[in-house]
Amino acid sequence: MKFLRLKMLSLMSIMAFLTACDPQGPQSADDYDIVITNVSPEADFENRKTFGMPWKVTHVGDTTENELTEMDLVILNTVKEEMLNKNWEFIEEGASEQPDVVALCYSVTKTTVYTWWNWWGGYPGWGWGPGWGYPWYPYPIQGVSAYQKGTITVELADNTPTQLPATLSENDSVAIPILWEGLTNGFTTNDKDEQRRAEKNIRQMFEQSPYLDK
Amino acid sequence: MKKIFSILVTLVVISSGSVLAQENIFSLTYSMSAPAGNTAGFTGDASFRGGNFDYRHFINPNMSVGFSVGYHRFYENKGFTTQPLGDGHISGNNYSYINEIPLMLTYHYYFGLEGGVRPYVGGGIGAAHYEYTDQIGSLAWVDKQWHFNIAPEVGVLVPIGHSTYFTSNVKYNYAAEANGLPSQQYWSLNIGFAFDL
Repeated sequence: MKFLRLKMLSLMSIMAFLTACDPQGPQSADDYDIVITNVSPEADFENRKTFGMPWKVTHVGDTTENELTEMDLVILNTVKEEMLNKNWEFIEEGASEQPDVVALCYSVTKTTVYTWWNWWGGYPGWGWGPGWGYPWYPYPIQGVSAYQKGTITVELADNTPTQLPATLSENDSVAIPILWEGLTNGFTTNDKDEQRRAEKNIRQMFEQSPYLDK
Repeated sequence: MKKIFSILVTLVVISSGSVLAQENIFSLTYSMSAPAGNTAGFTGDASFRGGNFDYRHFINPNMSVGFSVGYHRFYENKGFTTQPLGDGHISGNNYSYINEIPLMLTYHYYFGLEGGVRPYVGGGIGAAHYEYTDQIGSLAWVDKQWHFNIAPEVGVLVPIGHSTYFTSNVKYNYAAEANGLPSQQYWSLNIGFAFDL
């Protein structure tokens, strides 16, 4: 019986060794990256040719930080470059002409779960008038009820007047003029390597959205 | 006279087979598998993670009944993919996995003489638990399902020492469609050792 146990143990060790020699699944941080894009089925990009961008990334979960970080600049520059690469015309803030769409960027900096209406706060209605601007900024994140820390979101919103009600509940259905959104996650330290991955993944958002081409 | 003695000894040994016979054996085998059909569609790569434990009780010198428990893991790295998701798309490195645990009752018929090399045919019938995972980056979709399972096989037992055998077999594993999940198929080559109990 003693020998039997020894034989069994030897065999099981050999099998464990054989199965361990075959690494599987993600091996590096890049392998965990995801890029998700959503487009409104009603979105009509044919007749929209210009875009504007508030030069800011909203830090969801931390409103005290107002200075642009290195990661913020990577996000903003990459989004702008990609829109230009797709032959959208950029309209500077303050110009007399109003853009057809606005590109909005967010990064989730806390692990707390937020529901989308949390970021509705402070919305004063759409800003119109000579010399357009972003009095309504920040625009609400829509679509999902919780974001992981380290998520970067880019949205293209239709630049049409929308007055949102002051009080909303989670179940309210409100027409939010967001035409397209892209999400990627896994950015918690914002170091150089994460900046490289963020840039790569933001470019992928546009790569997998050929309907944005002009 | 010597010849007659040899024949007598041989006859005695053969007739005493019931005393020296294999009665209960168990085996541990390492399993390599090649997916087929729908399994190959989900995880196309050959599997080198698997094993089986078999117990067999001989009801006569040529037949055994028993049970078999196993584990097989199939995996494929599909690389960077972009797939439709809702009103948009999702991109990332795509990995698919199947973890399968078959639990079967078995029957085997053996050729050859006890104590010698014994080819056999047989098979198992029972259930198999499949866990399907489709992973993109940090997201994964998981389905779990029990399937009705059959596994015909051919193999051989080769004595290599006192109460020890080398054993090898080839099985075709078929799991029937269940709860909307399609049938699964794979071939496995199992190599290991068996022992008298």
